[in-house]
Amino acid sequence: MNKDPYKVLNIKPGATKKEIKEAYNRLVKKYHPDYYKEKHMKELAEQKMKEINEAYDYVINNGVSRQGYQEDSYQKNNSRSTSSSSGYDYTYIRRLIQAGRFSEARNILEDISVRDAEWFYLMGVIEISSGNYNQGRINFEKALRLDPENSEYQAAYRQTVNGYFFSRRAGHARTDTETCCQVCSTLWCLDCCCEGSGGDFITCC
Amino acid sequence: MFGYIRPVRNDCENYLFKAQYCGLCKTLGKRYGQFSRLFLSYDISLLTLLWHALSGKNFVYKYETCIMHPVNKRRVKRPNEIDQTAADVSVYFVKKKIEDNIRDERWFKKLLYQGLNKIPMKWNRETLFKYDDLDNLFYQLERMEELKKPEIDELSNCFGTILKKTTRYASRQLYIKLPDETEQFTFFLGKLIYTLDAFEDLERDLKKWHYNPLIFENKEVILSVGKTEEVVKKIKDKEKWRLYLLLDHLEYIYSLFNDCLGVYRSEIDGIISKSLPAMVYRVLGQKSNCQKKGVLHE
Repeated sequence: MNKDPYKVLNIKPGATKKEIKEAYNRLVKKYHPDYYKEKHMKELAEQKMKEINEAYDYVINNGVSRQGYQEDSYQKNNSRSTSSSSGYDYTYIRRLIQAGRFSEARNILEDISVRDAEWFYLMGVIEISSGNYNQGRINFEKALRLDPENSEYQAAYRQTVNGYFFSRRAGHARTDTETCCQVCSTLWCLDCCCEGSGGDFITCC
Repeated sequence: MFGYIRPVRNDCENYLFKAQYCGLCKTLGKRYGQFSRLFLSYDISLLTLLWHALSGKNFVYKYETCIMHPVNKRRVKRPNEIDQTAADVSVYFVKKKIEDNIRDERWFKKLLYQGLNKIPMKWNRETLFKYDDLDNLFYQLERMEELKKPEIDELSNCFGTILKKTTRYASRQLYIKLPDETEQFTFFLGKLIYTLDAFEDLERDLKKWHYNPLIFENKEVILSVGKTEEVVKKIKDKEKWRLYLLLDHLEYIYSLFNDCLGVYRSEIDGIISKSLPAMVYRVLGQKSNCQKKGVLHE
């Protein structure tokens, strides 16, 4: 399904079976097609109910409640900003993404069975760069849910919803290319130019 | 669907765009008859200017009058094979639009479009730009709309692919080597055009209950809120991040190849950095700096 099931049901990932059922019943009461008289509203309500049922089935079948909570917390405890909880080294995938080779990076990511916060973050970057904005946003949300403290994931989500994801990334790329050598050579040139007017920052040349 | 990229008026830099627009208009007239000049759009003009800039060919002017400006001579680009291909593309898109309207409209309007489709005019007889691949993509888009798909990304990506492949086929026809990023740029330009169209038609589609992906993407808003105006405002507020992100994305991709544009760069820079944001703000009902001064072409 294309929407985040937890968001559709308006529950937190650690919710118990009882909480999930309560949320489901609440939504069924609100959006049941029989409550709407107009034909098109009925049609919309039917679609909404389909979405709610799919989300409910997904959450129940994917072992949330106690088991799901344990899985989530396991990943939270083990995740680091540089390495992943699954033990997979994502450096190569990051390089592929930086080079704009999104389909290759996506193929490698899809073969990884254990999906941790880093996996969702990188998949989010690929989805957004390929034009699937909603999927990208959902993946960032999942990454943040697994590792809420990670500043990189927080920034990516914030930049997406505020619409400056790419300009910030381009900004980072530009600053990366400004190496120490470039800064030193600029300073040296400036110093040479200013010597005539009395300024001499680097005295040896 | 087209017509969202309008140049900012009083901008002394956009004389190239105006000359391109007039040149394309004249080419349409000569190639497909005077009636086809009504099919002219700003969006195809931008694409043409982009193709021209990347082809490395000279931009030659002449001063001419036309039906709309019979007294003052205007600067017109001397048409070349790029304008001819662009005119073919314009006619192809308009024919697809007419087919789309025949499916969507009812009664009088449907008859009108059916009649338009059968007029034995030159533009209706000849299709010089025709690719099965593009026809398939239009069919896919049509099927997705029929199935009332709720994912606006899927639909807008399909339209983006149409524009991307159009650029690819046009460059092959013209033997122009385009930078890799150009196709990506046209993909996101198409995505922006489709998304803007969905935003602009939202109120009308809600009242007439026509298909719009934003309606199906935001079912809960429509089912919970009563008045149409309120629903439109809520959906626009909820979904505007897509448009902002698209603008940002387009600017980023444009920055990857704008060095190749040579003397045309400042002209196209102005369109990307001023005209596109102005259109997004207009559709969202907000005022940009350009609009506050009332300088947008209407």
